[in-house]
Amino acid sequence: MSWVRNLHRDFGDFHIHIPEWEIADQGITALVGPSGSGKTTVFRVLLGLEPCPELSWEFQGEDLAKLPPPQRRLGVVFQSLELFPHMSAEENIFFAAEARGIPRKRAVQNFLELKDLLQLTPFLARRASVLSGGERQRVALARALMGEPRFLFLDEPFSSLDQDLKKEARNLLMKLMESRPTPTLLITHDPEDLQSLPLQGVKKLGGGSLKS
Amino acid sequence: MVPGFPSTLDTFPRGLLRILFVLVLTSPLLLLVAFMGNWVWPSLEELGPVLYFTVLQAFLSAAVSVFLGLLAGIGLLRLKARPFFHWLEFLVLWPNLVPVLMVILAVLNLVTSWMQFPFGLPAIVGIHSLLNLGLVAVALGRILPSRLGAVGELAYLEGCSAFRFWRVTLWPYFGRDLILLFILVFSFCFTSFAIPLVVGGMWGTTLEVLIFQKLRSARSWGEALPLALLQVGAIFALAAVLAGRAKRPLVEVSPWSPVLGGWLSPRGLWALGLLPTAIVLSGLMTGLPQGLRQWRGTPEIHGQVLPLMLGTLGVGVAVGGLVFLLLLWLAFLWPHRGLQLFLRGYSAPSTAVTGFALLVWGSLSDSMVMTKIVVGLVLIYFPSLYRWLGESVLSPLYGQWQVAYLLGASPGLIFRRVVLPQVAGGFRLISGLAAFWALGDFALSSLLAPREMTLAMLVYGLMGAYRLELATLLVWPLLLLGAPFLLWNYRVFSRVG
Repeated sequence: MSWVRNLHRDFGDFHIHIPEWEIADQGITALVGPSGSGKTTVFRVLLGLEPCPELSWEFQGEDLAKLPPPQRRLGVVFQSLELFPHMSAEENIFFAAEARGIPRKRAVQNFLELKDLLQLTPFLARRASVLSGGERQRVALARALMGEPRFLFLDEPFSSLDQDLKKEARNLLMKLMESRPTPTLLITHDPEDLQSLPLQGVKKLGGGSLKS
Repeated sequence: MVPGFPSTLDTFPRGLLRILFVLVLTSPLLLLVAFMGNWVWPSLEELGPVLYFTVLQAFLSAAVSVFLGLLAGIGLLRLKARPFFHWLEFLVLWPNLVPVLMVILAVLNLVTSWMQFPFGLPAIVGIHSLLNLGLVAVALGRILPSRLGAVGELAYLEGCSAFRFWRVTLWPYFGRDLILLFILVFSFCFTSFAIPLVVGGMWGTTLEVLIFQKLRSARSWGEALPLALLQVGAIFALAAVLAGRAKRPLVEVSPWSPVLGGWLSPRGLWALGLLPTAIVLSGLMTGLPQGLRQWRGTPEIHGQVLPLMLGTLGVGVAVGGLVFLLLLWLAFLWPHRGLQLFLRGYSAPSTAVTGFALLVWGSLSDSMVMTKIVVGLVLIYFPSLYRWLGESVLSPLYGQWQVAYLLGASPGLIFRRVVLPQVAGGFRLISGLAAFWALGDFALSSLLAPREMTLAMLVYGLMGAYRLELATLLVWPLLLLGAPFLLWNYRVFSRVG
């Protein structure tokens, strides 16, 4: 288990206060709540993109909150995916390995595994700017996992996909969890995600305070 | 919100580079402050009328520009869905893209062929409006559809008349934008130098011209200093108002419906946006035959042209290169909240102030004067080019920057692999625009150089000697040097707004 303590953000008329929160260290934990409840803020605080000096995040004997964001080794897929449009799908994925300084041999091994798992072969050489929504999604997921993250963070990753692609993406995620059990924090407001994904825990945010 | 990573990337070398960057940009002001001990307040009798005239011409110029620009912007909506719209915008913006010297010369040429030139307030307001009308029209042509969202379509479908629609929505929806554009144009005109200097006449002295006179004619640096600080304070106040208010995001609506454009925009109104370009082009054509005759009759000038043209090219290339390097430096330090706020709010000191600051530094050797002209032009152009175009080249990369950073990439790797490949094209275009403006500079050059060192200075000298036709002829090489660049790179201007 990993423990988040004293997560606090105050925006004057709106505040988020999470005294203690247990995130599963395997499988998927979902963070749910209506629009404006602060899900993305919690997500950004854990990533280290929002300041929260009192925060502690204990994981395997280490306080991740005390580390600068890049050293927390988190894989992230934002809602907007943010692929590098001037690079090919393959270059996007390998960028993560280069950023983490993963040796070439291990990076290639990781890449081959992800390529099969996420069925990336048909569009690997294409530029990210010309990929379809579903293809972009898979490349973003592969890039996030390529750097061997401690945690995978997914911010409403399926929201821009149509129903069929959403179903396919959920299946891919489940397959991924079976073969690469990276603990995952999923932000969603889609009840179908909660029903169809095997979740280890669900946390609800609402009215600025956390409820189980 | 201005994005940025205030804490984790504040490593020592980056922090130092950032401070150095700000020091470079603000160096004219720092030099001024270094001379603060010597100042003498000018008399109120002298300052009062000059301040009044400065504010009056800026106010009238901004009012006319925004009013006509609004009409032209509404006119442009009719053609917004057409495939050639980017070209049309480019043509509307054209007077803003060419050196101001060409606009002044074109107007002088055209008007004097019909009547006596109305030096003073009408001339200043007229040329300022000619310059800024297109900018306002293009900005509003983009803002209007974004602010309207689906409201326009809804009103159209419900049978509202276009006149009634504009009457009801114009102020509540766009009042803030109109005020911001007014302040923007006001600040341009408040610090405008070349235009009041040439067409201001005896009674058209602005604050900027007064500073120039104190420096150039009276050699009274002590009097110029408080005037310069007064002007810098006013620019900063206006920039702060702009930076503080320009927050409301635009809503993307696409595609823009041609039916809606046809409904909202009166037929033919778009041509108003092209009027400044037509005036400038016809003004530059007028007098060309006479100019050729004068050229044949003045062999003493022939020998000067080639060296001056080389000097001009040297200034242009050096300014473009330095602006490119500054943009790369900024891209390496980007994103940083404090730096971005500074650049949004910082307006370069005016030509006279920059010239004054540079006058007190270094010798009067040719190479030193050329260096000072280049440095001065870069310091004057950079802040407005960044706000106008540079920010829109960098800001779309913020999300990608964030992901790369979280993936563990170093700032150097992010700059090399993510930022540089995507900004190099846009930066090259911005630098090219700076180079083109520099080709036509005569204001700062005249302030710093003891003799004619560029073609634009020669043209300015000929204008002063009322040899407008010959000056027009000599301005064409400058225009032809810049034209391929403008035609080739017109797409960058689609990012304005």
